[in-house]
Amino acid sequence: MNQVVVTGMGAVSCLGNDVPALWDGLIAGRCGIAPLTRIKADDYRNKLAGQVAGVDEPPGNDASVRFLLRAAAEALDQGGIDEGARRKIALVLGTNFGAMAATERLLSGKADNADVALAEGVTGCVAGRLRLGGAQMTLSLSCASGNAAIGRAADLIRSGRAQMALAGGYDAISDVVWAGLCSLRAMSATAVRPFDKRRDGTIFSEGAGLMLLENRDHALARGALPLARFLGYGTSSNAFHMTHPDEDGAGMARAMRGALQDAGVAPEAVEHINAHATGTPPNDRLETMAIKSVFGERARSIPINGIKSMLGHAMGAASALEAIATVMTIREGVIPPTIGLEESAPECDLDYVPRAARKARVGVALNNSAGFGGCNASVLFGRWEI
Amino acid sequence: MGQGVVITGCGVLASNGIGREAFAAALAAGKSGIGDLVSFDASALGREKAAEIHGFDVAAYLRSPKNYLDRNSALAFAAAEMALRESALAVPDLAREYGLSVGSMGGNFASLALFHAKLAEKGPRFAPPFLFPHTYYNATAGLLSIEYGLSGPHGQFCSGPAAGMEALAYAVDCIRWGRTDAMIAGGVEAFGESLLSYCASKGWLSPGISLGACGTAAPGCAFPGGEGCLPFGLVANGTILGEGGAFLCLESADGVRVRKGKARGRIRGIGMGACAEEAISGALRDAEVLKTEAVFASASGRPDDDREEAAAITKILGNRPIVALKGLVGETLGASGPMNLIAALTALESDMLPGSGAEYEAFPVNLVRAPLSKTVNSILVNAGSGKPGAWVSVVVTR
Repeated sequence: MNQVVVTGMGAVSCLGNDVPALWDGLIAGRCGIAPLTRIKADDYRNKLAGQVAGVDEPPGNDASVRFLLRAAAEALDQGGIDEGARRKIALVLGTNFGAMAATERLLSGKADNADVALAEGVTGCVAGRLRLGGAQMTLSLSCASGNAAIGRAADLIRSGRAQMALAGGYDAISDVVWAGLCSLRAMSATAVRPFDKRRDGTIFSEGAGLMLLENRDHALARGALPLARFLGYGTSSNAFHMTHPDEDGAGMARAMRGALQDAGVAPEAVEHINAHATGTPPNDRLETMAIKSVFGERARSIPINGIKSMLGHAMGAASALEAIATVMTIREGVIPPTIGLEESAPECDLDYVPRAARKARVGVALNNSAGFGGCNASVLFGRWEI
Repeated sequence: MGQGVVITGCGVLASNGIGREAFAAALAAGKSGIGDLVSFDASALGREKAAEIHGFDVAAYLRSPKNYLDRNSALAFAAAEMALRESALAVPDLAREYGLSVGSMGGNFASLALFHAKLAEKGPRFAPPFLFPHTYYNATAGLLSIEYGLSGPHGQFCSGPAAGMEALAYAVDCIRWGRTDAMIAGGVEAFGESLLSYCASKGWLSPGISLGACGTAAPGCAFPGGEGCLPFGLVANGTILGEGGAFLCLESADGVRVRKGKARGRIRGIGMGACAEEAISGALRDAEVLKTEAVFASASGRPDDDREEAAAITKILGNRPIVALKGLVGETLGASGPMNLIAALTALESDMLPGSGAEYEAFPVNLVRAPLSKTVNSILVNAGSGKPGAWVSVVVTR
């Protein structure tokens, strides 16, 4: 099978609208969560969110489309992709809700932006605007969507069906999205504190994260500089409950083991884990159990972070943004911190890189994600070395 | 290509037949499922025709009682249960970590519309929390994985008409690359007002075909001025929306031998691409064959897609007989690819190619108009739309 490398990345998040802004914010331990303004906060129980600011072009377009176009432009630019090369690029997008504000308008009988009212329309619209000529694919594994899209896009390249793919996830806050998330009562009124004793929920956010994935030989032949290697991924289902995690973290463990097996990498090689770490009491406890079950005693010596403490939970974009952070950690030798972690809960007894970023040489790193419906997706990245 | 992948069970619900036997009988008889749209008043959208499934009750297919299933999930549950019964694969078998892969363009759009309506009526603070998880695109996949203990590789695809085949392709890849031994994979699409409005807004639906454009009044082509679903038709100007569920039980050839299961067909190759030509050539290359003996096309009466697909088939496969199932069952979007595949498997088993259901002037392709007795051993099955867009082709053999 072909080897896959990452040759470009683009990010839009509540920490800023490109990868440098995201990375600077993460290593500084800056929190992007603020009072909700995108929709009328008075109507909702939860009034804090991680929101994107300043991505207003092209006007008249749905927020999801705007986020994606901005992130894609950055990833294609970093990848050194000219107009001609765009003809070969596939687009693989994952999302929870597509362009939900546009969907709401369609459901209210309004016709503007109706062409993106379903997720497949968003993919087609973005591919059209960017003049990407490759295959289009749309998938949805709720909050594991970004990782699932990156993994499936890599499959297309490994099997020779594509040479290059722009892949990742996105979502935007809207009335229906926020009403639904508030109704589940899984959100904190104050902060996301992964693994902390006081953790009491997550806080949702929005954004887009995209990676340009490429056949290694293709990248080298055109003189592109790989940022990292994509090593493998795994997906799984808890097969347990639609909104509650399974009782022992076995589903997340299956996804992690799947990624290791897919990559042909031994657990001993993993030097960092970017955790799903939502800050909800069950997730962080079960993810800790899952990590222990996969890595055994070695789990205690693997630095793990939960960057939703800064980014919030960006739904379909979350694992894609975290994948970008994982690649940056491998490249820069810095692990962003888990902020808000003052005192670890007794059931969360691993090294979560609390409070401040840490320097560390990381050769292989795992990015975890999980979502509603009980789905999980983990992706493994490795350092690019010639 | 790694592990060989075989089909051990199929479940299908289409507007012209519920269950494998009824579906096969409908194909043999050339029975169309397209008729008057009755499940809601669509006159505001100017629609009178649809390919709806009538007389379906999910209760007969549920292993455990459910408080709430929307139509998308219900169709998927029924199709998956039928596939599992035919395969006799024992589930749940948690130790074996079988997987699940589902394709649906609109997903649980009806639940989302209901949730949206409740918000509009009562305000966000009274949003029904039980309903919200059912609005996710992957809600059906989540529910199915719980029902059958399908804890292995998990996918939910929501491209257009290719979504179901993308789900199937993922399942095939997972088996041949050794990620699991068995996957339940398929597609589902429930007909409903929100989906119809989306398809209408995209310009996918036939606005009506002018009087005299078609030779004879035929099922799905009510004249004068009625909406018509004429795959590869020269006067076709859009499609008619249908619904359906089509799931397959896919297993590694070795695994089936070990458990002494019965293989009903073999997936020989998969191709994926931005257009029909890329997908078809990819599937043939993957299957290591130059041609197949017949084609089950994606064609739905949307002129641009049909023209591209016809040209690609002619260029690569020459004058092979082409079956255009959507003439009988309408455009079933996420369900269409797996439904087409099950129809192809039925053709391999029954030595009969189904017709497209109507007489009309078509592109110069070898379109099978009426059921045709013919023994074929290999079939290419297409699903997709757009150029560039999402296309998947599958080579299936006995």
